[in-house]
Amino acid sequence: MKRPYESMVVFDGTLPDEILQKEQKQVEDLLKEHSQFEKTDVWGKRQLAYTIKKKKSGCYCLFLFEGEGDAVIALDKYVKLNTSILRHMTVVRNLKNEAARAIAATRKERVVPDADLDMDEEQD
Amino acid sequence: MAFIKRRAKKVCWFEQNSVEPDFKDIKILYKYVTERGKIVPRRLSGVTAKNQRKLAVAIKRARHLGLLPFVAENIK
Repeated sequence: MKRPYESMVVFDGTLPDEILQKEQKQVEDLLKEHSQFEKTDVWGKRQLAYTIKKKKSGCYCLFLFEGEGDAVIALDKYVKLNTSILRHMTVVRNLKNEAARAIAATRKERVVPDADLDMDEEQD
Repeated sequence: MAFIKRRAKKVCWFEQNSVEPDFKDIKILYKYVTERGKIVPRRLSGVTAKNQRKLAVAIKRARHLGLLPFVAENIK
């Protein structure tokens, strides 16, 4: 069954930009081969919340595609053999939520939830 | 008779904005995580049960990708 997927891939952040672009393109080509590739959302280099494979930074890329499960299997296999990828995760996209988020983003003031949560128990 | 002060009931942010929790919304996920990196219980945050379940999954996904910490280390 065809499904819309999103795949987040974390490349090694210590690699130079040229190699990162090359790696990104390789993943894109692989997805184009096995599925209906949509687009790539490049988040860029970010600091990792914890060290992964002794690396402190990663380059985040989000790949959007639509296809059968074999595209996901092919990506998993590719990632296993690639040492410059720290983490990856493929999830079925929630299109309904994406549309809702797009509408919410157009609102001028996006209310961010209260930062200071009351940590003490409520007394009733 | 002891006077018990009742706090105003908190409203779920996700319900208000009709958005579901997503692992890519790190700024929002950070609001539902304690300093230590633990998931805030819904009795404190006011998130609906339905959204809390989705929020927990979103936080765990973000943790796996290194977007959120499993344990905050910078606390002495």
